[in-house]
Amino acid sequence: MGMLEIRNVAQRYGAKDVLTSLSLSLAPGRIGCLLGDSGCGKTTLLRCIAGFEPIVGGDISIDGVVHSTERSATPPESRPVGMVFQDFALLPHLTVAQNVAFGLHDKPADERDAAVAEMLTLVDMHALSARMPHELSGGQQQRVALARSLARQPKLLLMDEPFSSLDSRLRSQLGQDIRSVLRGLGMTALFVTHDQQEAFSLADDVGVLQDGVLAQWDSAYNVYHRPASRSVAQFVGGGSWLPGTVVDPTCVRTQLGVLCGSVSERAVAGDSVDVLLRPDDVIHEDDAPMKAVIVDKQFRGASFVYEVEPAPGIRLSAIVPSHHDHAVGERIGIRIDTQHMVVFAR
Amino acid sequence: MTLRAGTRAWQIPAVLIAALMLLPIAVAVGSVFTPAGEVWSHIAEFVLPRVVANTVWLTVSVALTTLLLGAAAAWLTATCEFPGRRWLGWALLLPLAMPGYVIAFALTGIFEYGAPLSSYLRESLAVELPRFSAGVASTICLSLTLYPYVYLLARQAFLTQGIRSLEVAQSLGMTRRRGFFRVALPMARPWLAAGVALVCMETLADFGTVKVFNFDTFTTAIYSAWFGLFSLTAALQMSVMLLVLVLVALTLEYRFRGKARYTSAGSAANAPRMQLSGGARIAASGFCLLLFALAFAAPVSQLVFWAWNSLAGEWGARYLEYFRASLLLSLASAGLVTLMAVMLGYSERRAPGVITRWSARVATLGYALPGTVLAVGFFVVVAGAGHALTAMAGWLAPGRGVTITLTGTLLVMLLAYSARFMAVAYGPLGSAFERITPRVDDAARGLGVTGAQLLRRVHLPMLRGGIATAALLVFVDVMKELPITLITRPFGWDTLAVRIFQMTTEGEWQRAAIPALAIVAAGLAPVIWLHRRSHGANGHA
Repeated sequence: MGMLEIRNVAQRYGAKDVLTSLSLSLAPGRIGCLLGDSGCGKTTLLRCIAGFEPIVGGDISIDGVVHSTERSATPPESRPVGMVFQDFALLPHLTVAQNVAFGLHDKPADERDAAVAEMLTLVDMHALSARMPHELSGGQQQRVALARSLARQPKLLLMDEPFSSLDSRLRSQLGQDIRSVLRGLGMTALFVTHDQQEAFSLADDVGVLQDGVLAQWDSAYNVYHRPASRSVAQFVGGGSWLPGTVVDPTCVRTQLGVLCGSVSERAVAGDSVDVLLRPDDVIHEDDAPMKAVIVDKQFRGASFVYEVEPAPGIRLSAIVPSHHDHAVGERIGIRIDTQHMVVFAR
Repeated sequence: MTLRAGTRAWQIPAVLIAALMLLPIAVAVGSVFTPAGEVWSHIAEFVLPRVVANTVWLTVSVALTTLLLGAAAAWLTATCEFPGRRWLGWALLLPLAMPGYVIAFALTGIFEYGAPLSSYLRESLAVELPRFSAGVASTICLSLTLYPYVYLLARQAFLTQGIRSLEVAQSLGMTRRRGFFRVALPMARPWLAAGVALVCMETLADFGTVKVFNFDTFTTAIYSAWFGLFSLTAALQMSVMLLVLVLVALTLEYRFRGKARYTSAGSAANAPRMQLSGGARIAASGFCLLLFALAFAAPVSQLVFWAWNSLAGEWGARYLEYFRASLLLSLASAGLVTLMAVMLGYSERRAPGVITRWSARVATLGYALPGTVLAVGFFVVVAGAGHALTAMAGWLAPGRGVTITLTGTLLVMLLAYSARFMAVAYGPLGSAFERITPRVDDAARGLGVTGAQLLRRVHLPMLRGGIATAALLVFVDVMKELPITLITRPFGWDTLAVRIFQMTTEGEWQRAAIPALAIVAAGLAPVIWLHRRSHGANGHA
């Protein structure tokens, strides 16, 4: 039984389907992430779980209690859920400590003060407890918002694009800090983002949401290496598609020769398929027999991303360590590493 | 910051404009040291106690009523869904176009003892409409015309953060009702305080509304001291007391706003409105409809009815005179005030620093100064200037007996208008100037555009919208303005507002309808502008 169980949930704005028969389960203590472009419905799902929006089909239960069905919904304040809003939504007229204490209005004062102190220590904001929100940096506001939500000891924490308003240098550090806080508390959490790096580095389970449909709900590793559909594969990581014919269940014949590896989809000899070659599948080796012409290059610091043409009409991206500095137009040796081969029928 | 000499010269216009605005205040405060003799003891004994009590009572009751009406209507139209919500959202702004002295006689016409409505209710249903005292009637009429200030600002606050603040409260375990009082209202406090402060300024400055009901306040007492008791000194000294009340109101607003700032807890762009249940939907629609009917639809209908009935007998060549006077004065002052506001803004931009910043603040104080006070103050200033010029002429050309009188000209009037409406013009211009950042200048210089070209090709086009808005707002405000026009108009300058005043003081309400409709029609222009602006702002949120 998951801490969060979503079964066949549907949501509609007027005639527009926002969520279609969506199901997922998040086990206690796990951090889940919904990944998708803006407008895909991920924030709507979060708001349905929090109880801000009714649903028109299915049900949502938290810790074994049904909170939303198409007929009834528990009001948000009665759900064991904490929410961190995208812009943190700190109350501008209250200090840091008052913000954290805000949700503990039904607790006696001494208990409340103790909880506030504990939470602020947890997120390392104790020293700034008397500040006003506008005196804090974005990262500090984020920590206060987290402390405020956690102070009520929710069973499930929801975070809406928690890092989108922070600059990129802060993001990964703060992400790891938040992850360790949640892990320390054994908190179940679900957040939404459009940034796959964020999703992969923070989440145990990742869902890819496309046009209101949950295309895949799986471990981060599987979403990348065993995408459930072409569009998921394209959305997560991308790469180039190479047409080919299945030779046997582990090998595909393509214009670049026979590629063998663990094939992601059950394939029958003779089938026409497309093979996805990720940029990290294309490896540069000076003495490799296969040669490709560099048509474009991007410097990324530690690596180059080369656009190469191994045969006319075929373009691949290759991530190459940056000490291999080649000029556009040069022919370089490449090898295709197909340990995990993502294959879809055409 | 040190400024170059050429830059420092830009401080001069700002300082001059600010000094001009300070003159009437200085004159009024200076009058405290002049004994006003018997007149003053009469006023102190028979007039002041009533006037002070009436003014304070009226200001407090209008402030509370507008707060209640404005905040409630704003909350409903900004965060809830009910029939008519969309059009009522902007329709509730329309009463801004209605001067208090117009709604006062229009509503009186509808509800007075002999009016068709009251007669019908009394004779057919045996329902007697309550008779209101002058104070309550003034409160009702001022509240109905002034609540839009609170409504406009509160709506802005609730639209951007109303639902969101409820959601934050709910996510922290509070019910919606509790969230409204603990989060939504406290967060809107700066906006509410600013709206109520504007209402207090307008109430303290009001002359026409209270005059219709013969409710004596400071403004009417200043008027009668001057024109009834012929004591300018007494009028000035009462002006000082009124200024003290204004100061108290401003201080209270500052204290009430407290440490809170105009920062929001984020915007809920896609948060759905609250769906009200059956009874609540009807109550919400009913409340907003009733407010709109009382504050706009009913009085305008009454005016149209009267105007239609009186058209044949009333309309004549003299109306062209009223229109001409109103139009000329409004145009002249719109041009003058906008020009001064542009100079003020340009000084602040070219010579940024403490001096220009404070000059701008002082120059825009006029919105808080009642027109009556400005009229008296500038009258004394200009009269003094006339005496000085006469003395100078006598010294230069002795024995010719030259006397120079400036008080019978438009000078006092235009100066008083400028002081009163500088803030109105400076608002939109200030935000237009803010858009011309130093980087814009740098970019233009980088493209070889400097000096007069910079002004013509970059600054003026960027300011054009602000200038037009400023001129429009001043134009309409001058058209509606009553006390300054009434007190300082030279002979032969009867405007539409003055005509309304003359007819209503004689109880000839029907004959005031045509000029009143003209003023309401003109007043709709800035309301539409306001609505479009706030609408645009929502689009970006």
